[in-house]
Amino acid sequence: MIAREQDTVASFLLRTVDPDRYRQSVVSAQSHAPLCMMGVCFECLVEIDGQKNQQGCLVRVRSGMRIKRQIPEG
Amino acid sequence: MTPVSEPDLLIIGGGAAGLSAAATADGLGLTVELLDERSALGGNLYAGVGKRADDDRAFGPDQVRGRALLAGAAGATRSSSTFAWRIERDGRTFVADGAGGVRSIAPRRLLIATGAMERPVPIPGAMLPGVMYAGAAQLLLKSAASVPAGRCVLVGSGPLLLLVATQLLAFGVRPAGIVETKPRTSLQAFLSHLPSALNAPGLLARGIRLLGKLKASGVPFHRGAIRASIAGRDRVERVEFTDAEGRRQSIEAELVLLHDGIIPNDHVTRQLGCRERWNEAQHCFQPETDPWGETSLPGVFAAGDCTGIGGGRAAELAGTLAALEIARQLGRIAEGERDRQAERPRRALRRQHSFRPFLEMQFPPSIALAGDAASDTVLCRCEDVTAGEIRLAVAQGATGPDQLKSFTRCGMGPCQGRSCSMAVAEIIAKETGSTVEAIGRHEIRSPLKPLPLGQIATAEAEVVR
Repeated sequence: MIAREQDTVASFLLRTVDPDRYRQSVVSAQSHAPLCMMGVCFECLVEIDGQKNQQGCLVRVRSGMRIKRQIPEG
Repeated sequence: MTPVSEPDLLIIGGGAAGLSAAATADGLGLTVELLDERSALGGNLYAGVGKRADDDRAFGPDQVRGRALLAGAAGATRSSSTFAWRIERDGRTFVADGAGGVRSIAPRRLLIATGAMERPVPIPGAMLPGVMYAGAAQLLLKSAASVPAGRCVLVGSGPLLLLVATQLLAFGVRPAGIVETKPRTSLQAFLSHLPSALNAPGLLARGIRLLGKLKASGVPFHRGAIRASIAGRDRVERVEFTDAEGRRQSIEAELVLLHDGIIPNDHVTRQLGCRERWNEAQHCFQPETDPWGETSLPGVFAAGDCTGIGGGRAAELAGTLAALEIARQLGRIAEGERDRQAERPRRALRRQHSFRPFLEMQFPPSIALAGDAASDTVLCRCEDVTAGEIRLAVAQGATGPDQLKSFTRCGMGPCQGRSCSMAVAEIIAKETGSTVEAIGRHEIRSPLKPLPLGQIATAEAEVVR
């Protein structure tokens, strides 16, 4: 998959997956998707290189990065 | 933990205010460090300006300005993807970088320039995937030159809502509709604020051009809408609202862009315990500052939209003024020189501020006001707490935001209340016959964002000592 120059993990995922497949809340089990893209809402949480709950909108996509959506079988 | 750095000035936030302060301070011979939690500098207004191959289609003049600011601040040590998770009252700041490193900075002066955030909009259905803030779509356009696919409807009120609509059009995305929830302005209010608008004829003209563009585009523009809500099963399917004639309408949508103005992003000044005040006209709290931007904590400054919404140009000017006073406090320039250099920016800043009352009168918060929110409307996105649950807790005696946390967990999720604190205050105020100003918001403690325990552990010895 090819990212754009200033793609964050969240902007990249928003182009590649449906918003209802972005992540699932552990509290409500509902689908959640990025809301603010500016580091405030924490709706864009993803697992990056084994570290869970990273704010996808703040992290630049890098080559070789391992991104795992926080959904069952994501 | 790596050794402590000791710059003259540490700036938190690399938007208009931070970059301009960095340039001024650097020009006066101060050592400056600037950090921003995002992966690129520029803040909201100048997001994406650092790109190599740029596409200026929609953002021409702003991009040019942003690039100049970025170049001007080149003398500062700048770190992106770096966030301050704990700040002491003497300015000592603990930061974590994207690579998992933790270090501390002990600056002689601290400037907080954390900008603005979207005013959270808790309306029915706002939790559904496919809903974003209008500002989020704008950031996507600016930084990644993309917008989520699908039939798009803009909902809410504020200059940014209309601006984003025109920027989408310029990008080739045609919105399926704009549902504007801005209340009608009385002629009397309009006329009484018009003189303030005429102080900044350029801004007024820009607004009129914007409306003209939208009209010419033929995008359905529903003005004076009320009771807007979003419906869908697992994701957005439609927007519903009552139009100005009182008819209930429904528009199909896959992407809903919400907006109801912006408010200071003031988590950092709150964690520090800077004294704040209620800004009635902007319906938000803001830290108190003196005319140079110094907060109630000596040596801690704040500038730009995090001190009250003034816009990008005002933020830039406020950053310059703060840097001048900081240089004076550190003995780099004398008072007379500070005042001489401050003269022009201060005059320009006054002009910028003089336009705000007009905007504030035109665009008061509408759909963000949660006092009357329907019981099943989710206010706390992290912990899934509804307006009804909060009302129940208030009735059972939780009459302050901090008490509400232990009753409902509202505000205890990863966002630490960034999304819900105002809505909670609105509801408590409504239920107890008080005001948001009197209720206030819950306390903010470090870490300012959740941090892996291992990262904190490496810094813990330092914090304790």
